[in-house]
Amino acid sequence: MKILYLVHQFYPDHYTGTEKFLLELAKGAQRIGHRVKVVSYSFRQHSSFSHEEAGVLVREFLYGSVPVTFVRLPYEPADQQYNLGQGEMLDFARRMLAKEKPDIIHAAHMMGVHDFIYAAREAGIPYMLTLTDFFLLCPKVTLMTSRNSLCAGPEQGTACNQLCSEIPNAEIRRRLEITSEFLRQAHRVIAPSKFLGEMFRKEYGDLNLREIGYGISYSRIRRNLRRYKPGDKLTFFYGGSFIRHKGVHILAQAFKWVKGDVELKIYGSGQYEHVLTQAAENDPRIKLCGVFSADQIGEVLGQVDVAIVPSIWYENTPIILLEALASNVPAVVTDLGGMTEVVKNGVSGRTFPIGDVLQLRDILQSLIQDPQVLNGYKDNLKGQFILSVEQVALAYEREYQAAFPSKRRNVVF
Amino acid sequence: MLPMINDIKQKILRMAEFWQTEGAVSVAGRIYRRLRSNPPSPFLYSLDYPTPDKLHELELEIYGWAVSLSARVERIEAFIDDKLIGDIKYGLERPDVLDALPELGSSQVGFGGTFLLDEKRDSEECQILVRVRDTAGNRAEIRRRIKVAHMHRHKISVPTFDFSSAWSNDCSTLERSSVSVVIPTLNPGDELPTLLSSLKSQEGCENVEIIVVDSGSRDDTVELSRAYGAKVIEIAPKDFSHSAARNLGADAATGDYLLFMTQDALPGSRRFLYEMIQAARTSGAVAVSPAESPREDVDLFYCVNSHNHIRFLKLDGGDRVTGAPPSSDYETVRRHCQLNNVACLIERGVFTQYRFRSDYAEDLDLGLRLTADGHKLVLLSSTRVIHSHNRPAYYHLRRGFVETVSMAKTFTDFPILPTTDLPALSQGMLSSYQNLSRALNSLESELQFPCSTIQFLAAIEKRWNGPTPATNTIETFDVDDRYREFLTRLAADFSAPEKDVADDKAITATVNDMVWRIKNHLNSVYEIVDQALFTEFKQAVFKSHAMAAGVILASYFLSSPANDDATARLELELRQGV
Repeated sequence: MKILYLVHQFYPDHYTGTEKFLLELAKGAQRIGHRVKVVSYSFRQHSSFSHEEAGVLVREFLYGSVPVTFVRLPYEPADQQYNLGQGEMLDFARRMLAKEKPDIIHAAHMMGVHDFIYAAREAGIPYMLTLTDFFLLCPKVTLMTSRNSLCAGPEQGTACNQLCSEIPNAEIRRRLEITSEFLRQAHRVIAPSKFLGEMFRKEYGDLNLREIGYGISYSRIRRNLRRYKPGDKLTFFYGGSFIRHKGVHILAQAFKWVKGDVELKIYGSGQYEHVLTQAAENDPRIKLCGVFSADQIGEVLGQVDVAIVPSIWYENTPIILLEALASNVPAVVTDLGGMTEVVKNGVSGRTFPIGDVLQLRDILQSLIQDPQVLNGYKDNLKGQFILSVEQVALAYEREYQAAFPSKRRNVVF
Repeated sequence: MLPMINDIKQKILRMAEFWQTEGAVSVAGRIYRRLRSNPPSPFLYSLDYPTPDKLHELELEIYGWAVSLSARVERIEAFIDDKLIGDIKYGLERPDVLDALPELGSSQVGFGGTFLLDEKRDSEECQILVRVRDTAGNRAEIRRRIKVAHMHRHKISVPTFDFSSAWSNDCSTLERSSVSVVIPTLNPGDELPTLLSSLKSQEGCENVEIIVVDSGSRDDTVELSRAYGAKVIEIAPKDFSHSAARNLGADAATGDYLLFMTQDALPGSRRFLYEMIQAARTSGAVAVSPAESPREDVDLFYCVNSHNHIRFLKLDGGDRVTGAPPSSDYETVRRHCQLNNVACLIERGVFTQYRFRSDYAEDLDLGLRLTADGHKLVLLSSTRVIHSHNRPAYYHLRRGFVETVSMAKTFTDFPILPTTDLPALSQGMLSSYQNLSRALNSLESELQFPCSTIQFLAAIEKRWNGPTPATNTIETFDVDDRYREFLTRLAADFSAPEKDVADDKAITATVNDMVWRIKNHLNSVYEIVDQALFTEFKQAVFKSHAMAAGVILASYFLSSPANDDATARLELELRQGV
């Protein structure tokens, strides 16, 4: 089978959760014996593309074992980030599908590459969607309103009119009609968490929806076997982008008021970096550790005691959180979105209300004063299994195969 | 200096009229206001953020863009409540501005930075002032009042949800579905806790009991298994055999079903047990084995063999319910009876009557006896067990040997390769190894990676069939030292100078057959071959060579049993440790 993957951005330029998920999935499909290709939009400079075809700049390369095609329009339309109507890449998409002849198309994110879905529908090629964020619900992607609150969904555009009035409502309503069509015509829609799937179901009604969580690479995981007794020094951990909705500033503020011989290791990069630099200058207990490679995850999580994910949006299930839990590292997370599906308060870690600096501070302080409570969380984590990348690849393979039922003769369970 | 102010002004007017997006308003609308001011400002600029309509964080982002119409922007300062808080970085990329105003000639007109507000402030409002200066001494100021969140509690209202719909992949619990999983262990490493954790979180079964039969692990396997709630049976290393260890585990089991697994396997999904039980119940079978799917770190050699094995068992077309084989030839019998102890589920009551009894291929032996008595088996393709090895060539030498001996004992028609004498075979193995080395060397030198797979396969075809110059040295490759040392030793120990005949026909044919499969795999999965994949290919070729050598040596010993110390030592070495 040949699978063409679509994504809004990809390695080596971007390496957040969606790209990580897709790269592992593509490699997994190769192991199972499928031929794959990733098509991604890229904002690289024009000169880094090798040629232009049907009005689209093209660059082809290999990332690891996965062939990738970067595409870019010579001039981005102003509404590039959210428009889902037929666009200027459609002709190129038609040509590429005619040349590549994929059996199935799988979109991990459609921003900038949605014309391939139009082309797939014209060509009668089945396609699947994985809902990696709220892009198909919300033009702002995060479901955060202009009034700094979280939104319960567009409600056919009525909520957008009230909460995000800067975007013309007619455009939002048109966009919702298109996304509804995209979702309904998909061979399968996959949600990595129940919460995310339910948000879509709430807006679009009954969809052909399945839950397949994200997987982690166990070959890189090392079990953190540390046990705790009173007085043990703790090291807290944050790993992720330094962007507003990840809430790292909430953590920095909370940690400022935490007392005791304790350390906060912050890994990542992004626009909030100098806020954190400033915090670290004022508090030697805060260590800015830069970024780490995928291969270093075992070493990094082996040296910390609690992972913290203080996001202030409907976070899905961040892969770094899954890696921490699989490494037997308890977590403290915002009680929101998909995270509460994997971190149960008082069982495998703690949860706190969104943006609540004081409560986060209190939780951290209580862990410092009574670190033995972590032993219980770690014991409970033994019974909680995070999917592996191989299991996720198999789960998706099953969905791909289901698009061609006549080709297989499986026992019906 | 911008010469075409009027042109820009016209354009801005059009943009402000027609463009409806936030970005366009930011770029166009504000410039429009600036151009309408009297006297006109010496700058075009826009403070995009913070906006007055939002509640902002204490970590305040300030960004926008600015252009001097008569000189260069020199400095941009930020003030909060009239207190200078720092300079804002200028020269950031703003392709949207250049897109709207190509006359600017540069997209590096953005400014931006993040500043920390004083957290002790009482008011929820503050005034931002951004001051732009240019090299001609002009300056412009943008003031804006903004609202800031409370210092401790970021006011983010969250709607409440009541989600209650069922998911299509939720499954109910099967009745009488308790499973005892028996896992023989010996120094398993990090893979065991992953397996135990995965088994404990299986869905759809009444109960999962884990029984670990450890034969002398020197690591923390025993303690770790107990920490995961497993029953642990400890046996001495000398008491271990594949059958005995599993029978011991089965004796301690209480489940409706037994599932035999290896320590380096992993269930393919959360419903692994549920699906195997359902497959057995739906089909009336007593035992079920799922096909293997490789681990993430699988090497090319194992991957190819794994796919090939699935095709051999005819599982590439879907699941199979099998029974007594319709004919007694080796291939048909294996295709019908090949249970696999990487994962093999069987009703406990049935197992008690049969048990394992062989020291090698005990799973196949069980399948043979079950089908002979009229029981049905299920070989699953839709449910997989994740399992693969990444072992060196020397391991595959012994694997090829042991497997061939075992199969030949089980099946009278198992194909045994015709062999000549040991000196000729030894020389043949060495010379074919050297030929492979030379072929791969010249392939590497004539190809530039990355190259297309089609080009790569054509080059292999040419090189494999072309002449190879003679040499007595073994080329150094990424093949393991132990296998190279074995070949050298074998050729030295069994040299026959008086004959000087190298028999490489069998090994060359066997390796070529394996390389053909590797080529097919490359052709179906990869469109590009890079240096890393070529390295994998080389290793796979040498592992193929090692396995073929094992098969040939087994064929030799099956027809000419060891009759002196040297051959007896060789046979012992090849039998050990698989």
